[in-house]
Amino acid sequence: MRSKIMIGLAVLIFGALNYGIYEKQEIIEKGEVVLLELAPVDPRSLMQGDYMSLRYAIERSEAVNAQKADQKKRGYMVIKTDENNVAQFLRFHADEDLQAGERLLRFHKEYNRVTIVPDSFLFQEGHAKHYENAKYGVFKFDENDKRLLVGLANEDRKTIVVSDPEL
Amino acid sequence: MEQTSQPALAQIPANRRLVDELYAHGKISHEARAYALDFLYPADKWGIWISRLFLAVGTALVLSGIVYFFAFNWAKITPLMKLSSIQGALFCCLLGAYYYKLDRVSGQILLLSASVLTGVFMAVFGQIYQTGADAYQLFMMWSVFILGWTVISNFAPQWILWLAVTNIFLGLWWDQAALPERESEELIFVIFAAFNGLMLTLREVFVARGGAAWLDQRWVRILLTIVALLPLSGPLLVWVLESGGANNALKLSAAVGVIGHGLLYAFYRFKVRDMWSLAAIALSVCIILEAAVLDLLASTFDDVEILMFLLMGLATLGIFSLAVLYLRRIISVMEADHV
Repeated sequence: MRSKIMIGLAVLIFGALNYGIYEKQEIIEKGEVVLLELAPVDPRSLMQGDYMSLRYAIERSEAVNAQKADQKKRGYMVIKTDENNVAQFLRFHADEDLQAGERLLRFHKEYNRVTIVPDSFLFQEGHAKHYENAKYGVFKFDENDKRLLVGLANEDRKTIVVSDPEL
Repeated sequence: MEQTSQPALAQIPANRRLVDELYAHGKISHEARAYALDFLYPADKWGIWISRLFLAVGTALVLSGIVYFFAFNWAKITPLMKLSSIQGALFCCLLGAYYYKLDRVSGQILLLSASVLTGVFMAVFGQIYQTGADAYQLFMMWSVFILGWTVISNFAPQWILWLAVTNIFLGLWWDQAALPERESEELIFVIFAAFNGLMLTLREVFVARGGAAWLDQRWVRILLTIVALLPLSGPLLVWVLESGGANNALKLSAAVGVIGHGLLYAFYRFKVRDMWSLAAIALSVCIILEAAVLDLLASTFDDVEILMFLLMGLATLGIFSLAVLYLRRIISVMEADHV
């Protein structure tokens, strides 16, 4: 009896795990590309093993600095992409309806500093040099503004692909 | 209840001292002594011990080998390959658990491995799909997924894993989702104390009702007691050591801490007599007293540090001597009652 319950639960768990994979793959395949400009950082101090801390230019923009004081610890900001798919900050979201082309982007606020998550990019150990000169974070957004960080892009807004892992 | 003057034979714990005493008084022969000692302390005990040690070390090495394999070949293995191989391992564990059945340790350990692999899957999932989701969500899902298995496992280590995962979830959730105001941050102590206290209570209730032999192990009780004592003593320590006045949340947590210590003491002193738990409670009280004395001395002698440390040393000797004396007195009272 207990074994049967165990198997029944296992079926549910496998279902949930694989639905999670399906959901994320849908975003990767069908989502729209949004680029977030990275703020200039000293790469050496931020590369640690197999990930790189990211700072986004939006976090430091003057409009954000002017309006951030009233925001809570978690919230959404409204962004819109320009002709190069690069996101621009419009305003903080206050439950109002969005205009066409506007998207929501989640942020955290701690000690009066706004950060956008994910604020790190993970890669295989030893690949740091490929990502040192990244200029943009490449996101995929689905229609409900669920987003995934899928890679980093260089100055020409081309996603950085590490072709040969040995190099 | 009628008290008999002679304790029943079955109530006297047998140990090496008892056997040696009987032999010294000529009550048993040399052969009887050797037989009794071999029965109490089997000669092949070390063999079992070393076999378990090798099992644990071997498992740890295999697991770390797998982790390093994935870390080193991260970019070469496609994301779906990573996720399906973990699911394959998960499936094998469950197949094994089904084959061996959950009544045997081998089946239970395989179910425990499956529970750990569920967490590994979610960690890898979170690394492949970088959503920036809060970490509490991972532990929440992990805790929910393995709860059902834990309930049917009848296996104490499985419960310990679930408790660890759920405690981490509670802590992260408080910080990342509940978003408490600064003046109510300390209520996390109450949440931890309530959750772990409830688990300890459930453990004692089920053991007292019988039919849960798998739960009736002393290390489970002492572990749960210590885990419950941490959030009970935490707010008291913070209150004593922090110079700024206490806010209402801290006062409430501290009150819960004092009541919790009292309840635990009453339970393990009078209801279920357990020296290990009493010793843990005594240690917790000692640490709080130490902190109080340190705070008092530091504020009184802040310009003569040598004197402060001398007095602190003496106070430490005093506090711990009192605790040990008190525990020894309880032991002798308990031995007189033959419990």
